[in-house]
Amino acid sequence: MADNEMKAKLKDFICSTLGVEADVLEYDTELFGDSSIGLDSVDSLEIISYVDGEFGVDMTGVDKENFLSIDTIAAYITANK
Amino acid sequence: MKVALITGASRGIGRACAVRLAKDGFTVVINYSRSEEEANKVLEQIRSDGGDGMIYKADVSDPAQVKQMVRDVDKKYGQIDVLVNNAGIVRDSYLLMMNNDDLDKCFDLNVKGYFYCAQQVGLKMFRRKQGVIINMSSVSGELALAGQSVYSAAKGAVNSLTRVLAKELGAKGIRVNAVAPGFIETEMINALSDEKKEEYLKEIPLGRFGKAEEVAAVVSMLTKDELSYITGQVITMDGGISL
Ligand SMILES: NC(=O)c1ccc[n+]([C@@H]2O[C@H](COP(=O)([O-])OP(=O)(O)OC[C@H]3O[C@@H](n4cnc5c(N)ncnc54)[C@H](OP(=O)(O)O)[C@@H]3O)[C@@H](O)[C@H]2O)c1
Repeated sequence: MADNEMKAKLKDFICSTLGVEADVLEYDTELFGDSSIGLDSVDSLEIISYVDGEFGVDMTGVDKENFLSIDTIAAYITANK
Repeated sequence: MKVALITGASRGIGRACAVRLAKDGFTVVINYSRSEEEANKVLEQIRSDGGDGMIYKADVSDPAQVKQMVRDVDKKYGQIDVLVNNAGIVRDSYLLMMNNDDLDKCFDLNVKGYFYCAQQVGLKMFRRKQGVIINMSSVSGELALAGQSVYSAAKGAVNSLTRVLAKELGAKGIRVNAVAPGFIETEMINALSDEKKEEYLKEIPLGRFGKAEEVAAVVSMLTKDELSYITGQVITMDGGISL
């Protein structure tokens, strides 16, 4: 799967399931903590579950820095596919 | 179709749970680590009762094997509805006689193994926002028996794990409970000396050891929609020994 297609899917998921507005979410926007998006650790569980189901990549127990942005999640998926 | 994965299902309580859940209509995954012949016999019995399932060899104290097992089962059946974390060992000794290898083995299987399976199966259940996890604990998780510090500590950990996971996963439609049996007639109990058995029997108000099928009946109950308001509980079934 092309990198951009993967990122588009991740963005769609984050917007539709986690209630983030599409126009404020770029691929390098910080997702968690004090960022404008402000996802929390429960949201990261949803992302882990989605990535497992959609891309077959297990992100349980991986370091937080992999969840920084759509870019870093996509990079992890590509590296571990 | 509903799918139940039962760890340590080649013998004893796990075996009884596999047979029972198959009768309840589940497709059953019989996990084992060494006893392949026994695991096959369990599957044969399930098939002769009109059910179905598969056997799967994996040492559940090894996270890589757990990951592979859960992946393979999910691929084959597309879902896991029930996990029974059951595989467990007893390593009894008085504190001053305890060896580190026994301590490690007991925690690796009875505690860490439960975490590994709950994490991997939980990941699959999370996607579908439904599922039931049942942890096989023991009355020893609460009751203090001299010589059982390692096993008791492990089962105490299982009880705590059960409560916390119930809280974490409840909002995602996943229920987590534990069953805490007293003395159940399995190889674990058969290995005791007659004197020890007599000693324990005197302490049990119902005057007998329990049967693996009776534990399986409680497990079956906890999978049912009718009882779906129960989560985070440790259900004791021990003939009254803990009273
Ligand atoms: N019996 C009792 O009185 C009693 C009371 C309270 C609680 N419990 C709990 O009930 C559970 C089952 O006990 P049981 O009496 O039925 O024991 P059991 O008869 O000794 O059977 C243990 C089962 O676990 C499997 N197993 C062992 N190590 C494993 C591993 N590393 N990976 C995967 N499977 C493994 C065995 O399969 P293999 O032979 O293939 O390895 C076997 O199927 C345990 O958690 C125990 O603590 C038992």
